[in-house]
Amino acid sequence: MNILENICKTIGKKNNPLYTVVPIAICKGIFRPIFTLSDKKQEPESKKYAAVREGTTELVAIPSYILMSKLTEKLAPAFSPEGKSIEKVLKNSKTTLGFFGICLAALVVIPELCNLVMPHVLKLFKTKDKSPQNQPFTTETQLTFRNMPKYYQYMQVYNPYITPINKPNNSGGGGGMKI
Amino acid sequence: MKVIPTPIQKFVSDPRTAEFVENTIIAVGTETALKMIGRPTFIFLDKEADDKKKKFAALKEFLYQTTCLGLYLTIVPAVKELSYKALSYILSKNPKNKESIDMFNKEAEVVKQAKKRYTKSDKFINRLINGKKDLAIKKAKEAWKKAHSIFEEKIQENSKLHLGKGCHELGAVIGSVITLAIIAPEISHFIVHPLMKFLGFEHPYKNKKN
Repeated sequence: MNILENICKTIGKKNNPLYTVVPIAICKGIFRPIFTLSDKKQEPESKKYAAVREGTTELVAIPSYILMSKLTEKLAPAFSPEGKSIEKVLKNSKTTLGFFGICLAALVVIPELCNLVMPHVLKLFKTKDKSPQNQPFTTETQLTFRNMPKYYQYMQVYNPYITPINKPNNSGGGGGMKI
Repeated sequence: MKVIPTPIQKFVSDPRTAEFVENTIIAVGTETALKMIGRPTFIFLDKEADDKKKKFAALKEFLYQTTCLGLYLTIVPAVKELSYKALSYILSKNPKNKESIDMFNKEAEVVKQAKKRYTKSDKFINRLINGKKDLAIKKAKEAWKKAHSIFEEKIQENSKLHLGKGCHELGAVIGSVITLAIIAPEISHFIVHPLMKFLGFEHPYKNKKN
């Protein structure tokens, strides 16, 4: 009860927009990926990508909001006209500039940071494509086929360029006539 | 040396601007509207992804944020009221807190009545008959604004009113979190996907021929 009372009194004295956007970002970072992964209509790979993207975005958002808000608050003296009741004026300027910092974070900083961070995060979750369609020949046979005319690449006939141990992958790959 | 022009300084340091941005609903609504613009733009600027995926992702993000904003502005006032009632009920168990909350409710009621009088006088039919510059409407509007600014000054000066104001804003925070983190993702799923299909955007991984 005391904690709740103290929270209400702090917010009532001065309501910083950070007190709202940070809890929203934390809860979104938890719930949005959960809802995405529990979607039965989507494919597993796209679900994974979407969930990782959503979680990373909110993870990037939390420190961005805090940092941008604090940075813009530092500019308060430059935005406050000199003169009477400077302390009250500074307090108002800090509140307004803190909010503008959050807006800047939402509009520019967070999406840009996500673009920079996402490729590295996705690399950690990337699975190798093991389907034979994308690997028509083994590495050894590729080396052998390097200078081979195209006719021999696609025709499953006797091929003087192939040594007996290097065989092409025949499971639905490059097509070609079967003799 | 003056770097920032005076009108901008006046706007930033104005107590009304500070009061405006301290309002939770306005702050979150503005932030969501900016996300609606910023995120799809930066998805388009992403050089790593291919065009088809970028278009799909940007449109999906735009529709999702638009849905969130619409849902937020619709649902959150009701959720805020419910949260405030729940919070004030819990805190009123302490007699000292009850006194503060009752004082806050009394002051807030004065502003509410002034607003009611203004909106009642400013009905469309009254404007049609009397015109926009009707004196009664003008007076009612000024009375409401004055009541509101007196109320805000009292909150700043009287620390007993902080608890009631805090309850109100915490209710808005709880409402915002529930709406944007739980309700919006679920409801937007039923809105965004059919809308994407209607606009002719299938998922880039669908219809991939084997």
